[in-house]
Amino acid sequence: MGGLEYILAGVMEALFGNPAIVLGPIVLSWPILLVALGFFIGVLIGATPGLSGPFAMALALPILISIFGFTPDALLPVFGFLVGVMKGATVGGAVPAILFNTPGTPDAFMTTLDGYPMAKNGQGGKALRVAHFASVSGDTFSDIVLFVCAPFLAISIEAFLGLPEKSALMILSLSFVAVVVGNDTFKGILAACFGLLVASIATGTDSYPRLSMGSDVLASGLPTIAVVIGVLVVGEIFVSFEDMWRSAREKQKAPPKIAPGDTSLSMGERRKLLPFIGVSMSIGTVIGALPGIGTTLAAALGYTAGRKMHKGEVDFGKGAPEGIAATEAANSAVSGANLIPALSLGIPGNVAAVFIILAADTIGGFNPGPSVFRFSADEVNPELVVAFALFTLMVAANLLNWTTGAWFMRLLGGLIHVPKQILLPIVLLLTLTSVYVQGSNMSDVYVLLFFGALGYLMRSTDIPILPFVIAYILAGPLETTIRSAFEATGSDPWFLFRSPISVIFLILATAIICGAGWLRGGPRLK
Amino acid sequence: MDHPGKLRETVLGLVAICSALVALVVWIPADIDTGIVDVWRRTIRIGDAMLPSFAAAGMLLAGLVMLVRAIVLVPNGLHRVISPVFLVTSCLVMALGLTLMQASGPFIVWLWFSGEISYRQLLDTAPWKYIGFVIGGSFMIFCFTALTSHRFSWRFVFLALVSTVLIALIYDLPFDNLLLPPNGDI
Repeated sequence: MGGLEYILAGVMEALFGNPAIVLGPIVLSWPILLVALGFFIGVLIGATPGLSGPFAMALALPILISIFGFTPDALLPVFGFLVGVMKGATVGGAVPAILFNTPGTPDAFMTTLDGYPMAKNGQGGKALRVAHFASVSGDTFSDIVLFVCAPFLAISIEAFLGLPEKSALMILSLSFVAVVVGNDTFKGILAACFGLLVASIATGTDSYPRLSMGSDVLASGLPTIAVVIGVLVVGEIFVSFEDMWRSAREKQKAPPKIAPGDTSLSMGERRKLLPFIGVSMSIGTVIGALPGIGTTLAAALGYTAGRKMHKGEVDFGKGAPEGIAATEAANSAVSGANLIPALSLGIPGNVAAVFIILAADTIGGFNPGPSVFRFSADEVNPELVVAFALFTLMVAANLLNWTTGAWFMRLLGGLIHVPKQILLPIVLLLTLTSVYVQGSNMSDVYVLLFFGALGYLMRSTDIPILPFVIAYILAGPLETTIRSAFEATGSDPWFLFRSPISVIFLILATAIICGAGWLRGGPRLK
Repeated sequence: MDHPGKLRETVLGLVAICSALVALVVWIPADIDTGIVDVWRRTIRIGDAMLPSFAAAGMLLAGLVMLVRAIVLVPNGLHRVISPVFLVTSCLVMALGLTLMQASGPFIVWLWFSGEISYRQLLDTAPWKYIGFVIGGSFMIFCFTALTSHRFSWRFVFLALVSTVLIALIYDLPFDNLLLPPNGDI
């Protein structure tokens, strides 16, 4: 099969491969249906303060796997839903930031700076339109970069890197994530190493499941979904519970609800926003392509760049549409680019990518990494078809976003105002139930709660969560690659130092770890 | 320990060091059959102890730096305050909620049928299959809502009950193969 045929096969697989509704010549496939469902749920979740995309992904993943099973046919519907949520939550976060001065997602904080003043001036609807236009532009651009770069990067890696170099690249990526996420280099390293240790339990090549302490529960391996959702979601819920418990005595006035007001955004106004969107989406895409660096930094950099460019009547921070455009374009451009390391290297760069890799690992039949983009002419590479089908689903989600996103955002402005005190306990029970129904085993719920407690303690002591999760997911591929490299080099103990490329990767990893403390300033001497 | 956060950073460093040492000295040697490298049919290969040993060594190194830093330097940044009252209350709510979820169904069935029919026989029959989930789930939702709002309200009880019943129906009605907790374990 040629490259074009692979692309066509992927598009056909996404659009017609798994039909849900057939009405004569019109076919609506399960993946497309779930993209739409995921998108609308994502906007709703993103627009609800206290919830975020990962909550919806965590709740839905076990249920979707239970519904669609562990067959290759399940991959695209599950991916479709996750992609829909990822895109919907990104755009939805701007709604409460603009109308209620409350960011729906952490990266929408910068949107409040200009969005809320605009809403107070009777321009809430216009601000929502600006946010949507910038967000969807940034997202689309970032996806195009992903479609071009991920195959190119993967092919280059397959062509130029051997097993030792790939091992060194994984070590470099893990070091980078450990160091850049969070505020403390050594806490990041601690989290990553702890993730590797936990991932070692009941795995390995020996017949005895290592580190299982003779326990039957541990011997069958820790349920990956329960571990990841526990640390990421349950830990966050308990931190929110404690914050609400502490602040409940302080009477907090609900922010006044503001009518959307002027909702027009002319072509001329859109043209004026384009330079700000262009700069910010480029910044967001570059930031997103680096694993571990989140949307918050992209939004801050995009906003700063926009402020330097701005020469309009209204200053940034006082209701300038350009401020919203700069922020939203930057944070939305992160989501697509974040999948570049995930798909081409198998290294998840953010939480959404973690869930996509988790889904792929659990269902099987698709192993994100360089081998996905092997354009084999003699025999069909099914993983490449899935990759192009995934790209098709992302395009479908973007089309949905362009056509219905703005309308849905305005609609939600009047709906979302459920207090977190009521919402989060319900989400906790939903999470417990989702994890339980996948394996019908209470031990999964206990594992979930144990890692939820761990996530709570890590957040309370400022230990970053993402290095733990990424190391936990990356441990298996890393160990397998190192074992294979060691055996392929004839058991050479210096296999990581024989090639200049792997030496460069290792030097970079060391430099990042050593340099990070200095760059951050570090703690003060007494 | 005159700086807020200094004690916590010291304890954190010590916990990291102790955990790493326990893993390196006790857990890994006792619970992994192969070493860091392993000879199998005259071929030297990487053993199962390699990954956990490197991970524990990394933890040890990070813990040592954190401990030394906590002693020598003034910690930066603000720390969240962990409330022991909140922690104990939350643990109690979770433990009671899960106990109610697991025990209330079999207990009510035993009481209703005077022990003649077991809960296991009614696992697929409404309303019995929902009892444990609804009681335990409503209890958890109500307690956490009341705890985080610092007040008791009958509205919370109603909301907890309705939302738990809705969750039960969402999972149970459309999907024949999904079992609500704790029905898969009974």
